[in-house]
Amino acid sequence: MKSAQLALIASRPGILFGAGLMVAMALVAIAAPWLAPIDPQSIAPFDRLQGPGGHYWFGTDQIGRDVYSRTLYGARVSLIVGCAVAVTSISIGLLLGLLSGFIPRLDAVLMRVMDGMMAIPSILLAISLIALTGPSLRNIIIAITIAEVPRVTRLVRGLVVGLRGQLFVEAARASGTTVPVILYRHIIPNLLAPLLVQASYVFAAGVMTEAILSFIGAGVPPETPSWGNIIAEGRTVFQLAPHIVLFPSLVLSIMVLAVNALGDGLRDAFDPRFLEKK
Amino acid sequence: MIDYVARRTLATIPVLLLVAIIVFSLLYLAPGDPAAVLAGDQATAEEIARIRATLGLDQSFLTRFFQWGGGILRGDLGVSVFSGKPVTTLIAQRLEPTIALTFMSLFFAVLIALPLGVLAAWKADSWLDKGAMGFAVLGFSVPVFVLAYCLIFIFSVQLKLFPIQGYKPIAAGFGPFLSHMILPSFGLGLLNAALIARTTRAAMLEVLRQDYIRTAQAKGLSTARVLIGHALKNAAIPIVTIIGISFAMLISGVVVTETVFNIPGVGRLVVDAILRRDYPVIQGVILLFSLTYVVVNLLVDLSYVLLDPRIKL
Repeated sequence: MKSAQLALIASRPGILFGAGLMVAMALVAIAAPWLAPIDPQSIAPFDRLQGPGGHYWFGTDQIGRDVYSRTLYGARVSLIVGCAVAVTSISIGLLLGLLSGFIPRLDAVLMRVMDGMMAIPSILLAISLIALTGPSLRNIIIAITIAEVPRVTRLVRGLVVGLRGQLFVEAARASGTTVPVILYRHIIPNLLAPLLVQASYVFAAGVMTEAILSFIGAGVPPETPSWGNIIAEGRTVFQLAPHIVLFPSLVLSIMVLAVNALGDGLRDAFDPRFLEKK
Repeated sequence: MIDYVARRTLATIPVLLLVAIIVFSLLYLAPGDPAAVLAGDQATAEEIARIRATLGLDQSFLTRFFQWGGGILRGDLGVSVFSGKPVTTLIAQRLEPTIALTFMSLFFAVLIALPLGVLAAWKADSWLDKGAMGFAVLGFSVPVFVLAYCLIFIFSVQLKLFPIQGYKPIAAGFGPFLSHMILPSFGLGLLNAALIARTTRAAMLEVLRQDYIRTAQAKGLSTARVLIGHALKNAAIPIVTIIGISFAMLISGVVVTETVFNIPGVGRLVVDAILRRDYPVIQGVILLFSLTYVVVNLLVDLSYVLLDPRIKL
């Protein structure tokens, strides 16, 4: 990476804010058992629907569980889903995009299938997959990944088709370089920056979709604390105890905001137009 | 022009066919026995067998696909496993609130996004621009149910201006209908406005650089006429395109919003269907929403001809 790019990354508050918050959230998720003052599953019937403050920082829910501890543990589900969806979607999308970009006969078929998948709103595609496979963390990751792959594939394919026509790739071909070497040396390095940007958007979409799925009851099993689940459980007592919905909502929004800011920052940093301006 | 319209319209058929194949094949591609998963944990062997027969899983893939596909072409989406009623009837009963919510959200989205995007581009790099784009980033990041609860808390619980949830059909009077619909559609519209505003700003910035804008200003036209009559008109294509693309987001938002506000629409139908593992209903709703999405984007493509007379491909 050029030093100009590094300087630009440092000058972009979005990247620092986003990356910093993600690291902090990862630490919270890992350290949840030590950070949480109370077991997230422990029930305190006499302390139901307590407001925030005192012993319970974020208050308690309708069966007296500590909302603060549950929110801390919720970070685990969100981060696992976000990371897993980002890594698998980008990997599969990269593979399919490369295949599509280099094998014209496959390209036509694959792109039509992607068109069809993209015509189905992603939440609904995920919902139907969950309905068929049953709600579990693994199935949720698979369902969201399937919904995200078409976008990544299209992006990669578009970039590959563009790169393939470039002079340096044609020169490599003409000098007898084999396709795997061209891919490894000329194509993939040029895909890394846009894929990194895309990965952060996919991560954000993964976190958001998991929360929505959990919220509508097609997410991780209810006993697992996830932000969407906590909000869904707080729904019924929203008027009495808005704090149950409020705190996980706030954390969820900040998390997605941070990842989006990171993605926007990286996009600007990698965009040569911004380099010229500076 | 007729050629262009016909070509674009025909091009949607393979996409729709693929959507149908994907939605249908999911049943067969799912690992394990979908009939057993759909029947739930406490199901008896008879119940599983009944669901397998209802879904046609006991027949071959192709036989079943042509039966199912033929049914769709005749407007038959199958029968709900839970209630035994035809899926089309169930959807038809719940269409009104969903259509109302979709249109009103779209209305609010455009109403908020266009002025915001135009002003942000006009005063680029000002505090107004930064504020508008800050709002846009927020709009991408706040989940629709979070904003919905914030609105309920402020306007329904604290200020008591609107009912907390529920729905009144238009037939019951326009006043009650509107008071139930304003918060849900405003919330959904506000989030959708973020993406549209961002694109409006980018498209306007591009147009405002053109020579004919300087000419229009030099002629002494008022700023409003330059911005709306000259610039916005020429920035229309990307804006209309993004409205079409964001329609998928709007549909997902409708499903969630109906859940938050307890609106008995198609979105609520599909959420209930998940809880009841009623796959034919899920299938039907996905097909309907995907069809709507494809048709909306077809209309967007066709609108190019009206927006830009140069397109007569």
